[in-house]
Amino acid sequence: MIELTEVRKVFNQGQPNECPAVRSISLTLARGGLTVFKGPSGSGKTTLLTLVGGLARPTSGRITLEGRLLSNLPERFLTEVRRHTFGFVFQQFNLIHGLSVLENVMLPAYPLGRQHRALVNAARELLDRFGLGAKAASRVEWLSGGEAQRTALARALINDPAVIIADEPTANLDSALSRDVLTLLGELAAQNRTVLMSSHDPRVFESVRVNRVIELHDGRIVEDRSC
Amino acid sequence: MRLWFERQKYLIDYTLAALLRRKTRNLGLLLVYTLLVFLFAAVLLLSQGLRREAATLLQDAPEVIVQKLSAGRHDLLPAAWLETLRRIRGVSSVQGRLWGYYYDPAVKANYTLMVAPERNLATDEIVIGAALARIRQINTGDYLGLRAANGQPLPLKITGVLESASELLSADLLLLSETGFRRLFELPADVYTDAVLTVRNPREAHTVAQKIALALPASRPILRAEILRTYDAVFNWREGLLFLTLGALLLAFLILAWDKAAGLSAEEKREIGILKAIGWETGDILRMKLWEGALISLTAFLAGYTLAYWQVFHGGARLFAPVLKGWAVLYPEFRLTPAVDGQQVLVLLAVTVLPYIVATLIPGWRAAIADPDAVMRG
Repeated sequence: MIELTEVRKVFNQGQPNECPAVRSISLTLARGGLTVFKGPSGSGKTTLLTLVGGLARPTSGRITLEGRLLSNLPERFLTEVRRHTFGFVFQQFNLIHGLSVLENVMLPAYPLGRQHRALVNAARELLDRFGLGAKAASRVEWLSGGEAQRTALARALINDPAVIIADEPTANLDSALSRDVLTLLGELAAQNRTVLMSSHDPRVFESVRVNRVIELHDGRIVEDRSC
Repeated sequence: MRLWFERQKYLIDYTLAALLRRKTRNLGLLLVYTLLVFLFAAVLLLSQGLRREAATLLQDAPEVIVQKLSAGRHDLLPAAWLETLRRIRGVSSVQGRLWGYYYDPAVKANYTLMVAPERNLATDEIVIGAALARIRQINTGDYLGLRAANGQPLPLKITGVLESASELLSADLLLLSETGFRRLFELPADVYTDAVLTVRNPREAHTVAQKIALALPASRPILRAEILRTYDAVFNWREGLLFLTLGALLLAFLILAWDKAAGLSAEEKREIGILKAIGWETGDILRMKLWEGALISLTAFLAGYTLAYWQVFHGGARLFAPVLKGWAVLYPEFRLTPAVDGQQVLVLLAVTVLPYIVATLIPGWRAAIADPDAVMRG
């Protein structure tokens, strides 16, 4: 369970260009299920996801994971939590060019020092599961948008995280590919993983696979409904 | 431990892949880097080799040389001095030497002429150094014509060529008989160029030198240790001259390396952001950057040092030999004994490898300590 209490995030605090992105949000996210954060651009969706995923620290407030306070953990411990608990999928895919699909999927596990053969097997298994087995040796810049996003999803799962954080994962995909990605995320949620995603696409937050929709405006929650 | 090795293996894998992705840039850098290490190592190896060679050759040099000074300059030594020197306590033998220089306008080179009594040469016989034989294209059995001090030509028959093992000191050497030498330079029979002494106890050479200075106030005793020190100083000076030139090159390289290594491209910064976002910590990024710096700099170091070693000890050290071996026209040709000095290697490592590693680490660290959330914003 992830709990946010009075979380605020202000960029450039104290500067003339100070920008409050998240304003005093309190929220409880139960284990499992697919939660979508919706809202227009600049509403604070992405910032909130980065705070939950430990990619950035809140300006004030508390974030706890299974009762453990994350928001004031030193960087090293926060990374440790992040690499074991969270898997990230980004709008721009953020795959590393010049490396193969297989290598990209294995990357998050490198610092863990897992045995090479076991790691390769785990990565291949994920690629097979997402229909990318034949592309394992291809360089990622040769992939289509859908293939790239599925590769990113496989990469997010390589360390077997309990929480998947996906920021606008369908924004760069056509309808059919968006549906595929949503299906995959829904399946992960059904396997008792917590899937948190942001989107402003109605096809996503109106999907039957979504369990909860939280709407944000100007850094505040304006609606929170279960589906 | 296995975990640690496995992690380092993954980091090296990733670093190699990253380096190969920017092949042209990194290969260019590697080439310049290798060249720089090669130049520095070549100067160090050559000057050290020469010093060692000179020291080996001078081991057999006389313990004390006595010269006569006149108005502060080297003058011919009267034969009567030899008896005075023999009487000094501690001196076991004294021998007068005859040597000098001869300018040969045909090849625009100076020869070193020396009387070698132990060779029992006849008046018109000479033995010449290998470089002299090469440049004049003459050999045993040929005649070499010199012009005597009175202007008359003096044909001298070559009875041998000095072996090249001793070429450092004998390249331009011409050995002849005492009568031949005196006839060439019109020297009277009662003078010598200088005198060489052996002392009973080499540790007392300094005391003997003091006694000589007292007995013969116009003399200048020179100890073997002083000659060695002079050689050292000359090589140090020449080495310093080269290092000064190379220093400018090093500075230029450091600026280039700093620019290449320190200025992370937008793509590299993005990659660091991605790696942090997917679970790499700052330490992992730093280790990766450390491997990157180490792989490039150590490869360049090994390649440069190996090339320099080969060039100096097997390739005749053609690059810097003219400066470091001497300013003579007749350059000696000889092979230095291969040797590597651990301390020298460490200094070279410190000068060339460390700055590059630091230059790669700092920007990596600066990019890695930032929150990785920027990557979420594309």
